[in-house]
Amino acid sequence: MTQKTDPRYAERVRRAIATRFLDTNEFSLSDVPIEERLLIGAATTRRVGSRHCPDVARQALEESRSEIEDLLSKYSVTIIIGTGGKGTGAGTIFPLAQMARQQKKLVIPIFVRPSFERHEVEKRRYDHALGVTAQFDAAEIRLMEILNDRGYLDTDPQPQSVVWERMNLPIARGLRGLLYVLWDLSQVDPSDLSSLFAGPGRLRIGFSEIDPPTGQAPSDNQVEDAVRGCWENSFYAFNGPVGTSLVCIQGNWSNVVDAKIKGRLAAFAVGNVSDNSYNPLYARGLHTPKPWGVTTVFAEYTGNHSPLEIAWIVEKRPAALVSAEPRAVANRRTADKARPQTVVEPRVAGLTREQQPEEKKQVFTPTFSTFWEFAVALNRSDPAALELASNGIHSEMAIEGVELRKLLGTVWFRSVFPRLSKGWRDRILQVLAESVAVPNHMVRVGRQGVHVSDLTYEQLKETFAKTPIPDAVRPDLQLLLTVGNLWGAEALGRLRFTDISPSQEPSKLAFLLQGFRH
Amino acid sequence: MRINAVGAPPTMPTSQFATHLAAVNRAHVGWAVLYFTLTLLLAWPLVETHLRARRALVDRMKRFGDRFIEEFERPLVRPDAAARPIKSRMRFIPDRERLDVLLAPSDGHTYPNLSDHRRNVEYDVERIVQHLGEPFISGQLYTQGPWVAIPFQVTTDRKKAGVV
Repeated sequence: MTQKTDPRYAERVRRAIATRFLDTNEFSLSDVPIEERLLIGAATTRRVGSRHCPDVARQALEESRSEIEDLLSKYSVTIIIGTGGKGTGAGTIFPLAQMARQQKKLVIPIFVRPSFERHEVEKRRYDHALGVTAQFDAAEIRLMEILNDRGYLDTDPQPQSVVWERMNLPIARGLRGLLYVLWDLSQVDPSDLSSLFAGPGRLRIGFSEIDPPTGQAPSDNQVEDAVRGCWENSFYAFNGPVGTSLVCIQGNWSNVVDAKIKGRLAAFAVGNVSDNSYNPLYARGLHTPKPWGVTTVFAEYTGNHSPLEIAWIVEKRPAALVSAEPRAVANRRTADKARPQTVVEPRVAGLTREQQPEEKKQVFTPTFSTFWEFAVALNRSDPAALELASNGIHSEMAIEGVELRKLLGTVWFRSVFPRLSKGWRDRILQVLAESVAVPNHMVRVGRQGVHVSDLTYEQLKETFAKTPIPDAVRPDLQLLLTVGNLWGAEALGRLRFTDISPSQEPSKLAFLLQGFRH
Repeated sequence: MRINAVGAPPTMPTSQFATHLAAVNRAHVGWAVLYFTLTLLLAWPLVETHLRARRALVDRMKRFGDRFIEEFERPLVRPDAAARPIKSRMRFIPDRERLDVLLAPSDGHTYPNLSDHRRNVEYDVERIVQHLGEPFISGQLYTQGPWVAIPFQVTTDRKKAGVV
């Protein structure tokens, strides 16, 4: 479909993605295009399969390790799909994911747990499949787990083909949506992805098509159906509340419709829970061909985890996720300015001599009115922003304290920071020190109350990780941690703290009760 | 006036007889009580040992049964369902050192049953006995109404019970 609607776009996506069908049985690969076949362990299995033995499959993978590692090294993101029914899928999916993780790739495993109650496999195989998911949990690799048991409904019996369609279509379309997100957004924020996939637990993916009549906005019913379709998918193992999640909207309609979609999804995710953990990352697919709609990746909330360390391949890194409060602004700017080509494929190779100077002139003209705009452009690897970041310290661009503080609160700014020259970093810290005053909260360290100004960076980290922090204090503590993380522990000494009036300080009783509130 | 029948043996007056009888009974009862008390005192350690051993055996069987059921149930738990996937009961026959674990599928489940999952249940029983490593060996599985009955015999042969 994409080939028909936008062949150039389709070609670019095709170049960015590699599909490989990996098996130990050569005959199983006979239907697959030759360039997509990857037979592993030819010597171990004699090309006839793992004999339903996961251990043999693992040995086969080991035999072909260098070939696989070479393939993985070329891409930033690896999506592995395997079933736990027999030998190869059950035996290789986890070692494959580990290989990808060792190379610091973003890995998204999709594992199908077979049904033994409905006689797809024996109980022994089923138990082995459970063992595979336990390995993922122990290694803190998030995965999508599909439960085949859910495909058998005594109240609504259907042919297997219908059930497969119901199970697979949302996954396939969701993945397609996710690939568009990873590839074609203009605001790159890899660190958001690193947070989304961090920690153990499950993921679930969904896609719902929204196809409004030409020239019209989607109706409320269309929005409602789409959101419900994304939210409700009974085939996944997904037990806990929804945590950090990705919502990508693709389609040429107004931001009002976008807001409705986001609002309805939030209503589903939050439900009636007051202390919810839903943290959506919004992304807007621009210029994506039809079918349009909503793609969601929900992550099970399993606590707070450090972002994954991912070695992004910068030239082809994935697209941006627009996070937190400034989303609306950033999205609007993106819509106004961004073109997919500038992000993923800088047009260098095909330029003639005459074209180049003009292009350069365009590129290096700094046109950023605010520091926020500059940071967003830097995040997109905008050449003008990169140039300014490396030597534009004398730029007259104003840096406002409030805006800066907000910026430091976003996850994506952490990936922008290393691109700034030392001069820029010093200037930002200077602005922060002069214009931002941090309330000198009292926090509990062990059994004692200590002012945050008296804590070292290490103590701050430990306190934040181990002590329940009141909501009013949390943002300030996060700011201090960000400063310590980006500029180093000694930078904390340059910040200004303001005393809190006694009425704002928690009473001793409230202070003691802090630990019981969560 | 008392009238005795001709040829009948002379009888003791009623009040005298009662007194005599009471004296004899008191003595007998006293002896009996003494005998019983002494017997009890002498036998009590044996009785107590027996009762304690029986209670310990039942406790052991119960602990094993609980662990067995828990391990049987663990892989069957559905992440989104609050209800337990199986129903369970235990039957203790300490005199024969035997424990019967009875399992049946809860609503919405089909496992365990012996009609179409006999091999899976046998595999599960073997797996769990191996895993628990306690001196119990399982016998022939059988069906009892809706229940799958798994008989276990206590054994002193730990190797036989799966412990190497």
